[in-house]
Amino acid sequence: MEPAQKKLRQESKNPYLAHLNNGDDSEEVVSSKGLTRRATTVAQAAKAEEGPNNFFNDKPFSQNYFKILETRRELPVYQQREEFLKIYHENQIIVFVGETGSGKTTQIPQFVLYDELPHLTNTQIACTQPRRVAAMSVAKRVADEMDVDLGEEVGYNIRFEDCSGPNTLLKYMTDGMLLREAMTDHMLSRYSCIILDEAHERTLATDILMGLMKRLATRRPDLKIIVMSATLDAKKFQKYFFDAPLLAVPGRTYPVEIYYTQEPERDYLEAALRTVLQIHVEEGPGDILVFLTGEEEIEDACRKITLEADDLVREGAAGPLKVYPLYGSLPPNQQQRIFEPTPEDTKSGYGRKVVISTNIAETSLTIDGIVYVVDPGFSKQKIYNPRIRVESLLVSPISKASAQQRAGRAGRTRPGKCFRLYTEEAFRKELIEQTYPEILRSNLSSTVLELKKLGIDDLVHFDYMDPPAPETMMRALEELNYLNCLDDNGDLTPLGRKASEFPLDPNLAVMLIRSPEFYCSNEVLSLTALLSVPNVFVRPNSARKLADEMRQQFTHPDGDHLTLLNVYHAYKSGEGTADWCWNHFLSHRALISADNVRKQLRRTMERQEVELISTPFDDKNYYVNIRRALVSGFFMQVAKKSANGKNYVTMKDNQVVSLHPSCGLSVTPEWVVYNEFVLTTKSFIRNVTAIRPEWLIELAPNYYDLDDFDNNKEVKSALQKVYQMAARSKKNARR
Amino acid sequence: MAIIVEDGSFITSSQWENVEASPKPPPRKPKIVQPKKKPSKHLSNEDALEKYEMLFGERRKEVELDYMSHIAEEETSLSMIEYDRHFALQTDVKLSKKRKSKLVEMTPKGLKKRKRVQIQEGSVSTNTKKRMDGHVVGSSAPAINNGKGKQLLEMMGWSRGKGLGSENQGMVDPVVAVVKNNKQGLH
Repeated sequence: MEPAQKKLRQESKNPYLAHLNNGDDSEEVVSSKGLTRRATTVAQAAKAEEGPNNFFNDKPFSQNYFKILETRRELPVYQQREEFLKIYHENQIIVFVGETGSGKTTQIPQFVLYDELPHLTNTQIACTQPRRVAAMSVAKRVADEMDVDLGEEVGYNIRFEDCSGPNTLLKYMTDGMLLREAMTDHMLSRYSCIILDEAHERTLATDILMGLMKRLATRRPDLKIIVMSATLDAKKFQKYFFDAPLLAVPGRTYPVEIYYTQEPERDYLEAALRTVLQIHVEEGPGDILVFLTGEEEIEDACRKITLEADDLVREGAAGPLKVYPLYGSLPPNQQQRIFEPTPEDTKSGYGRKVVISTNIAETSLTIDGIVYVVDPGFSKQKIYNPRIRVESLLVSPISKASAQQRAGRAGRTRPGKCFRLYTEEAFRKELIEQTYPEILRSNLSSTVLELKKLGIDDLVHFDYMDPPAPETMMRALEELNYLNCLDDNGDLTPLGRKASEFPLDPNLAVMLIRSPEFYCSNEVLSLTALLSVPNVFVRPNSARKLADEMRQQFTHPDGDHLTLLNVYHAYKSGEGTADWCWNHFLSHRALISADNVRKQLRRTMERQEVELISTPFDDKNYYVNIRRALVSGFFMQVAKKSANGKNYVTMKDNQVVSLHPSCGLSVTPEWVVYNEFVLTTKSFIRNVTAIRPEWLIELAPNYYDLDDFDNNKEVKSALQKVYQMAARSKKNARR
Repeated sequence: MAIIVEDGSFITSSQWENVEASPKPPPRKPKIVQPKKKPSKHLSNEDALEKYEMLFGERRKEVELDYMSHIAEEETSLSMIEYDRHFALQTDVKLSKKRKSKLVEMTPKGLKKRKRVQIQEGSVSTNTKKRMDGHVVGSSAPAINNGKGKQLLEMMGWSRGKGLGSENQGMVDPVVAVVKNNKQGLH
């Protein structure tokens, strides 16, 4: 009876016609095993959770399951289940606020699962995360909590990897992946509930998704939407989503005393070190969390604190101290170390753990035992300037909201203290209220391509939560037009439609799509994959010179892109073991990642009928073809050596730049194409390869129109010579 | 437990367990291969091995910490941090008498040495000047006044002075980045 009933429901409820439903009122009541869809009570759900068989796959529960269940029910968010279900039943959109660590990311989707019953309507529940590893780790955790296999009832989907299947009911995915699904299916028909998690991080993809969800809410009244945030400043989300109801998990947090300095600090790094040592000697038990801006600062601080602490211990002035760094590029096994237990107390003093972190520790993870926070008030921020098309990565003051968030980390396990290494006046006057969301400080070329593919033509009046500056949008439209992804009316061209199918920056996608013209699409495919993963080279502080020497073995004199290819070819030629990578100062993880990306992109190429072709390796044009293909996608990122011969000048933006220290060019060529233009301590161009100027006018004649270079006499005269040479060689060819 | 990795990197699910349990990796055993075509200016095998021993051998010497070791060492005490709330910490913490503190501001001499070290490290000269503190990135460039992008935006209904958004409520100028190359605290 049950299977037949299920089959009947499946046939009568084609999910792709779900939007044709008039609404919940006319919807057939769906129920199974004591639960009624969108009408479940806590008692019913709890009974279903207790088994003895798994509600979703009918397998018996393991003993471990019940231990986990007991733990789950002690999380703060569990106490809100009844109220959550009530609000969920009565509203289409909910804003949910819970501190990091309250359990919302793992529990709310399960509450929804036991109420939505997606297996009866042949739909899924989506939960987005801003970070790939978060999507993976949470999916694994939830699969354990539900006692199912990862990839079955619970799965994840992230760029270049899909661990879900036909049985998947709850899918964790990156916000970018849900956006990509929406590009194919504007109505997101396969989902009955969409949860946007970590909305407070305001990533670019999440912001666009919120705009989409707002549109979709009116077109699909059957779709439930939950926006989850870790900060209490959720009014903005409420207001944006038609004043949706807000449900807050009462934080399991304790009061935090805030201390300011009376005078501005001359050196915040030194002040942070002093403060840590002073806390260690003078304060009661509890671990310390220090916020610094980047890897170099953090490693420096770790080294110094460790040295000083060891001496204090040796003299019997303080208890043992363990220091751990935490930043994004740290290998995962080293990141895990921050969760190691605190050292034992001794008669000299309390044992303590110190974690020195970037702002990653503000909201993205929970470290139990932190009682003291040291906040110098800075973080590294990436800001794109559309006028000169540079992305800067600079140390900047944090916002008031960030400062509050940092302080809150001290009160998770008991009352704590936050030492702000700035004055209260500076807090009030110098700090902005909120951190600028990513959409305001990013290059929007990829985003514009996505919006066009999503069917959004009016980019001026789209309902952004925070609209970007007009100049940023102008620059994105201009770049896409030069790449021939948008035509002169702002519509997608066939090339643009193709490019949007690749989860790549537009210029990388265009390079890949055009690469068959240069008979090197296999190589460009590899190169594209390598440029899409983190740095494959490892350069530890302890062995810099040796690392540089090993890198020399792979270096190609014509440029960094060809060097990357050499690394990949060596890796794939049978040498590619973890040991080999370790010995040659390469990241095995990055290379595995690149290989996986390559497979995925190759599949997309086949679907888009982009031919896979190569020039024979011993052909004299092998590397020339690859360099020409680079120009076809990156012609807007070209620099010429300046007259004094020491620096380079970018072509249209007229910016003086240097080759990045990691650049492997043996001779500084006259003309180069580059992958990145970044401003850190100086203006650098990175991933640089030599090119010939005549390729510019051959492959990008629109962009290299002489009339566009009136503001740069030097470059214009150089281009004039190139045009003359080209005309002359054409003349000679004719003769 | 969460692991934070910058965008673009991941661990396949089959590797997940291994990562957590991975033992400390062994020291590197690099192979120096002389390039066949050109005679190399790089270290010979013997020199490389010697360098390797120095870096990874059990009795390795303490490696110089870049420029920091050139800075004059002087004894110092932690100055007391005064707070305007609750009681101030009363006791100075004197650092070890056996080891002198390096928590001092870099002298102009130290700065010069640091710069020299940086230049030596790079394979290509990096002689361009550092951006001045307080420099606003892109401040010398004019606002975008022409081009296809502006044209397209105007076709969608934008005009100068307006923001984007359903009610043109967006900011009119792009977010600004300011250079900070020092460790000065907020003031």
